[in-house]
Amino acid sequence: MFISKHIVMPAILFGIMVLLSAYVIVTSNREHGALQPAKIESPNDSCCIPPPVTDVRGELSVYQDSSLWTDQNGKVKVLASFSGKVVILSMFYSHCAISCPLIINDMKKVEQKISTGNRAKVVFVLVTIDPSRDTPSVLRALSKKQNLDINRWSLLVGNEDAVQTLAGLLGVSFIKKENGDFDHSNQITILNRNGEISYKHFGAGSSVDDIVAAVDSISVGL
Amino acid sequence: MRVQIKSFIKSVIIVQVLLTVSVEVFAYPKKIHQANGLIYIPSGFYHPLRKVEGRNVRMRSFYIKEGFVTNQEFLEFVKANPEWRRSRIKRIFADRSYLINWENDTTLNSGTGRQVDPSAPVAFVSWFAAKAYCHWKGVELPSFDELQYAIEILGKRTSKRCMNAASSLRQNNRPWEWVEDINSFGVALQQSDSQSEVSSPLCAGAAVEFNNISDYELLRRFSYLSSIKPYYCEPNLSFRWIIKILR
Repeated sequence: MFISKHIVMPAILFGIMVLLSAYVIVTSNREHGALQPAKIESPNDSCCIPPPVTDVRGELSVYQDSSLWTDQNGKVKVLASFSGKVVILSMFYSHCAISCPLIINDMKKVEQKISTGNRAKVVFVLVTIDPSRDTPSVLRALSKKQNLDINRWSLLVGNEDAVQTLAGLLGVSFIKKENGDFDHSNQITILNRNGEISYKHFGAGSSVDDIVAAVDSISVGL
Repeated sequence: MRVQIKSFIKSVIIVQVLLTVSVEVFAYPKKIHQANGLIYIPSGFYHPLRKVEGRNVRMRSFYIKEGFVTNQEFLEFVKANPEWRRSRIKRIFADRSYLINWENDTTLNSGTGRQVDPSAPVAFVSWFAAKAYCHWKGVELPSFDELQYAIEILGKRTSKRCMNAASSLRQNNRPWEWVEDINSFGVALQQSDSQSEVSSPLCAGAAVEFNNISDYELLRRFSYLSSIKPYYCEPNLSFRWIIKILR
């Protein structure tokens, strides 16, 4: 069969185009949602993720949630790593202009006011609700700016799922606004050494005597 | 001859681009939704109930499941994930009514007593359980706004599938359903006192205003979701999922 030489090049180009567009279509098709059940991530899949803490005590322990968090030093951990300490925790975000700085201040006041003996048994945890802006380096800068004792304070960032789950467990409300800021409840939560919610304090910039009393009472006998 | 080849190549390229674009835009959403019981919700502007900045919000496109997750589908999930079975679930993730209507951990019915319909919407599941299901399946819960946006879009369509889906999403004798942002409802209910904003339970830059307070159904859904906690397992509370299109 006679094939005109004028046709050969365009035909080859056409063929390449067809293959390229088929490739593009097929690969973008795959992006339209993985409908197969995703494999449950095992912490051992990644080199840098610590193995789960298996000895979590109590069905009401927040430590049952094994979401991963990164602290201000870039260390990956689960909440259960605080097991054994009394945890004073608040959810915040660094761009928060008024109430979050007050909450951090309240927590610092608690740190000063609890008895020296109990202070060693307590850790302070700040979890950001704004993971897109509050990277570990942002948290580290905030930690320095606020003069937080690195041995006692952890600032954590996790993915959206982890944040929503923790907020659900603690009863914290928040909503993201269009400008990227948040409306959120002002809450400081105390977890006992098993990770069970022991006390909730509402408000920012008010008296922290109730928190101090709660911490002292559960620290007895630790 | 050079000129001929050049113009031929140009036309080939144009045809190819048009072909690719049209296939991508028109054929694939339909193809996918037909195969998987999903409906394509295109991106567009939406007037949310909770107006925080006073403007329309641009919603991104997604696929929404036509109906609720069924008992049969949830059964597959608990079979594959023992820690979400009724006898093993941790109390912090679901109250004592979790899957209470099932015969046991991995069986819907025993043959006697009240029968659980495998194709009926799964009930007595907490938000944590619904989220775990979605994570397992590689999908997501819809947000409150995404649900309402889907209802608006589907309400404008006349195909039977879309009308059935819209009807399944609306509240007429249907189960309520979980949303991803269940933690956002407490904000609207706690009014910040402008005098002593900092000592109030709420840090809010401005009072949350509501649009569209004449939409009774929307307000009912808002009120219901405001009243439930993430660990509740209720007889008339189910869920469905969406797949967000990230382009």
